[in-house]
Amino acid sequence: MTSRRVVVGSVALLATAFAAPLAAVSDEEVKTISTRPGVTQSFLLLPPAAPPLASVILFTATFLFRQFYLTVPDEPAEAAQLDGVGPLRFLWSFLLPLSWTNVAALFVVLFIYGWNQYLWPLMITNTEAMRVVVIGLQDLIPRTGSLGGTS
Amino acid sequence: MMAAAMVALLPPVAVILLMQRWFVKGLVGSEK
Repeated sequence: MTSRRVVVGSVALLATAFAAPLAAVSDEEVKTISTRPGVTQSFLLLPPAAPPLASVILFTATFLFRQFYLTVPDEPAEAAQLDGVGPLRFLWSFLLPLSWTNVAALFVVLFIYGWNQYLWPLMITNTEAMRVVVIGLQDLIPRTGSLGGTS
Repeated sequence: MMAAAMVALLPPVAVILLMQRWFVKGLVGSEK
């Protein structure tokens, strides 16, 4: 019973940890852009779009950790309790080291996801210095004008 | 153009190549 609560708590905590930067980043960007005149209009659509996006990613993280924590037997949690270890300490010293490979897998997934982003960086960046590589690739496509020249 | 595209793809490919063992372990491993 107690270990079930530990598992649920751990999942919630880790999920929050992974989601917090996402939410923070989107909020910050939304605020920054909204203060600039002229761009506010298009950005009114973004705040509603950000939470679903974050929750989709969050779902991957939550499900990944949940599936692993379900396989953790009750005994370690009980032993930890006998030793007077609280839930947070149990999460930090026991569950987190065990889920290192989960974190690595999640990192790969989220990195590829983030790297391949096109629309979001396109919308939130407004100077050349802020452009990401994937968007910069587009500039490399030679444009053929109506005069037939390439540049 | 193609060269630039290849260079742009290097980081994700590097991540996959370097971490695929952990990636697979994290997804399917239960022995941990």
